Amino acid sequence: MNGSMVSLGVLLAVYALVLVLLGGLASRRSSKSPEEYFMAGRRLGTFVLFMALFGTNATTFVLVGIPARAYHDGIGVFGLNAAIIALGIPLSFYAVGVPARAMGARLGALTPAELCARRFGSRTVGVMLFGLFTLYTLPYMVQAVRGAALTLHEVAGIAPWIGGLSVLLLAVLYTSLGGMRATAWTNVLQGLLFLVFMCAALVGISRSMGGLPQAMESVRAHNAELLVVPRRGLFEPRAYVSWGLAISLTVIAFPHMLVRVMAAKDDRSLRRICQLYPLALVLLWLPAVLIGVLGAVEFPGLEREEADRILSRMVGAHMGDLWSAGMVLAVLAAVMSTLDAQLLTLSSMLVRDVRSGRRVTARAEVLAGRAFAVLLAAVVYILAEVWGQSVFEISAVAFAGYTTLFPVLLCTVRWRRCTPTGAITSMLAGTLVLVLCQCGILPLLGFLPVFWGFLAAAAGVVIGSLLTRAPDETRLREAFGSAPRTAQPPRRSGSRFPG
Amino acid sequence: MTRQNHLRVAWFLGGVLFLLHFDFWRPQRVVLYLGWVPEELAYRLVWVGLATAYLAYFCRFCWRPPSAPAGDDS
Repeated sequence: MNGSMVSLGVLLAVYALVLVLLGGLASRRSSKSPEEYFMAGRRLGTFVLFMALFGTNATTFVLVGIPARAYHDGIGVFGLNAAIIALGIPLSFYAVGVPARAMGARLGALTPAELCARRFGSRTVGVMLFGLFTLYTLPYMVQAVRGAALTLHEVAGIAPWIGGLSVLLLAVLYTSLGGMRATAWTNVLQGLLFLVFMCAALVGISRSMGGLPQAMESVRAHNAELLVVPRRGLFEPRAYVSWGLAISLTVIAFPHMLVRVMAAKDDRSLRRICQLYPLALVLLWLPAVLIGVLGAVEFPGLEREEADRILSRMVGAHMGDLWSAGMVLAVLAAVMSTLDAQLLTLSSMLVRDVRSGRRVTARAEVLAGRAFAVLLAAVVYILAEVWGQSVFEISAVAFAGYTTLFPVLLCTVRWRRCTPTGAITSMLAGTLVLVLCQCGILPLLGFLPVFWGFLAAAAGVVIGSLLTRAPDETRLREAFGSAPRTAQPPRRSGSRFPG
Repeated sequence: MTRQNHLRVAWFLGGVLFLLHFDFWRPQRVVLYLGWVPEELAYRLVWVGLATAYLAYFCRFCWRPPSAPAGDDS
């Protein structure tokens, strides 16, 4: 065994030990009740909540998929993704997350599906939402596991099936021990790890190439088209608009993100997070894009899955064995900080939304959550073994699905006139149109399928609600906690940001 | 200025930022600012800077928690 393998083994062992320790510490408080286990008692403060959200948001899509995309499409990938989400994610936190948190606390809902079910008094809405969340979250989990397995294979020569299995087992272990509190605490460590690593990697690689000016000059000399927007594929105007819509609205529709926002201690924490988010995004995305661009000059001609390995190749070629080991750790941190949240959220929805008809004790509910996390991990592992697309492509499928759920989530927490029929119509219409567009049955007219799916979902919730009877006022008061806005003085009734 | 007026300003500025993001009118040139920042990246970084300032304004003047009284406009 050579020195690099020893350093990697030691780093991985220490990392795994710290995660399990944090899970064990959190388990003391998390086993008390479902609210403690699934939502950390709704007491996540600014720093932990910020790192939990940021860690959950960033996955191999950013650390593996984005460098690969920048390798092919160049610097335009930053504008295509990072710039628009720097504005879109905080605004979507305000539009959906803030009222969802307040409504969840009023209704005692622990999951987004449960929130919608209780708001409408309709179990059908909750179960449908759970089904769609699961459908879209599974591919997202698969890309995370695949990204980690690819990196472990590239750097350490570990067989992908062993790498993927190890990552899943570790995530299941600490998540099932300490619930959301464990995942939030571990996300602080994981978020700092991959953020610091990506910044250090850019500095290290560019210094090794003679400094950033010389490295970028080399890109201009050898592959100048990487420094401009290609205006093909996702960069064509209508596709660009569609993708901007998808990537900025999709994040709050991730159930594992929304449930974390719902676990915020107070409104002030969320407000601070919205202001910090753009800075953190730039710190993470800028190195990811630049390393991909520099890699295109250094290792030309890579295709699909090969391009997914560009980060590990660049770090290996320019920064040595210890940093390669650090990169594995960073990728694992990004993977697991999302995977743990997804396991916890889907298992909580299985317990709360699908099995909600059965009477069980609080302890039995927590145990069921742990058992479902193991079951989900097994399903993800099998899918990761058989799915053949690149990390970016798998993520795109999931993003499109989540985006079609945005209208129903927004209207649930912001529009008092929204009805269960409207919610169901929105989910059916959005999914149906998305599938028909993906299959090429409906014309796209230059837009991406997600654009039409989103429009159908938005039209569905509005038309479905207006054609059915308005919700019962008592239920609305329970959910919204205040009188309707029409009760306000006339001069104040024109707010377009209903609170 | 009342919260309503701040909201109007926020809607206007948000719309401007949105339009500036879809910059299909901008010519593409291979220029490196400060020796290493491509023009496309420089444009996006300035845009993110503006978006950050916008969010600071929005959170300071337009944000109202859902639990606030319906007539709280201060």
